Amino acid sequence: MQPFILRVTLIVALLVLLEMLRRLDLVGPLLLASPSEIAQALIQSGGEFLSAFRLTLVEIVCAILISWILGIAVGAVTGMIAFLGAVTGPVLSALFAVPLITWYPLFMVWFGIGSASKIAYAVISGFFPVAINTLNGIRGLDRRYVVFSRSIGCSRAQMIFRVLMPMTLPSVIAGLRIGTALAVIGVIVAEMLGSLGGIGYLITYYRTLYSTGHVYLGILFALLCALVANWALNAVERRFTRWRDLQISQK
Amino acid sequence: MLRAKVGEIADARKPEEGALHHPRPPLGISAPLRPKVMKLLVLLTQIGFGVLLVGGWELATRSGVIDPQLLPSPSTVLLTLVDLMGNVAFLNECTDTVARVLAAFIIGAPIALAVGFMMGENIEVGKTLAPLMNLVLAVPQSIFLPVFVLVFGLGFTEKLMFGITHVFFVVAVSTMAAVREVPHALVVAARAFGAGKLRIYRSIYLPAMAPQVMTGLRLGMIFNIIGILLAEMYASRTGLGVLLLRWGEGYVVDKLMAATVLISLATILMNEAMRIWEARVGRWRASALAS
Repeated sequence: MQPFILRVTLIVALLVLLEMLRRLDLVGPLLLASPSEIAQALIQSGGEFLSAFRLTLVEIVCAILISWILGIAVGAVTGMIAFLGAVTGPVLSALFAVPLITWYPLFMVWFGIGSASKIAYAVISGFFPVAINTLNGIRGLDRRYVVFSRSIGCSRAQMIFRVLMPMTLPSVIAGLRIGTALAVIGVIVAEMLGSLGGIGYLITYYRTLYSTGHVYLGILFALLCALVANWALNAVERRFTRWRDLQISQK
Repeated sequence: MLRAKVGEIADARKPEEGALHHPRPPLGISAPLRPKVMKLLVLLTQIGFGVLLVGGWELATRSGVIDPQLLPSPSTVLLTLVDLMGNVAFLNECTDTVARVLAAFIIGAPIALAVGFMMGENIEVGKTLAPLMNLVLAVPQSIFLPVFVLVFGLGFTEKLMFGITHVFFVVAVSTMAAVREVPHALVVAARAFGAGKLRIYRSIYLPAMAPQVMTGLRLGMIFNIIGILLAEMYASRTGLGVLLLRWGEGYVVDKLMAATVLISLATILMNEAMRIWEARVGRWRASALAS
């Protein structure tokens, strides 16, 4: 059987199973929402969810962009200058263990409960893994590449952009993956805690009303946000690792 | 996405401060400094930077550049902290939170270790459960917190279950990975010499798995703490999280800052302590490489 048809059949089977579980009351109404309940919620409050989705997506995109830029900049600078790397590396790793969620109330005090506090919180959440991984990626670089590029007469800029950056890309991308995931979760969780709008806010709102259908609809939208962010990251990765495919095809 | 964070487990195999153990010429400087001198300089710079930061912060709030209503000075934070440590109500909330964290870990970790071990040892079990685990790891667990509240209500059980799920998946996956990494050749050799199963587990499996399992436990604890605190902030009657949110909404910034700093310091200390243990447990590897 063609994999596509198989996958579609599996998904349909899963949806039917979920529907049956709820119809036969094998799983409680608060634990699971049947697909028909979710569809009902969509018809009822689709517009509300869509505008919230837009807001959350905007916050996520801002947070991701800022955390990527900050993280890569800090990681690159500290990675290239060995002393700075030795100083900041352990500090960054130690700070990474801190439960950043505990800083969110402070962020609410400083930035209010609008989008700014969420973006700030998500930026910090995403910053650490990006910076740490960029730092380690550059530190782990084989010095022979540096010597080699200097020996063929590369300028500093050429060495950085044509040799070092492509070589450190796997680590940087790994850091970007973790950072993006944390940033997306950060925005949604922050919205759940204290917000005027957004997907997290809607999830909480409908939870207080005990409408599981709406709650799961919100969760699905949240997952959609994560998927969009992931898709963007994959596009970036594909753009920047094209040299890899060239390398392999030339063999 | 948690799978990506679990990727940190793989990175734990590379010594993080490799630059200090095997110093290489930094870009632009030709002669390397002696490693001990480097270490001292680095430490001094870190301490110096910290002192500058705190000092600058103190000055800024004293002189009014930063509004002390929004960001209290370090001295205020310290005094408030000392105050809070003597406050019985605060200590009660702390005990609540710590109790939940410990309970979730003590219940979740052994189960996860057992499941992870079985998944690694038994290929069929591994094949059936692994896709499920990866699916769960790919989904950010925090998003399901409202469902936990819907099902379990507010209270100890809800937070306990939330914490357990956080601990479980990380520890199970890293344990499974650790079991898979045990060098099969050694096991065969041990069996050839007539070692019983228990002996093999004790002498080969345990040391080989220990570092990765420790990393998994450390990450599990971190996720556990994050999960419990999040659950407390989201919907709870008692606990540190509730205090933080309440103080935040009430603009009681000094207590908020003091508590936040306390939690951050505590988690950093715990993380570093576990990391030292991790390094200690992985020392047999360094000596094996050296010989």
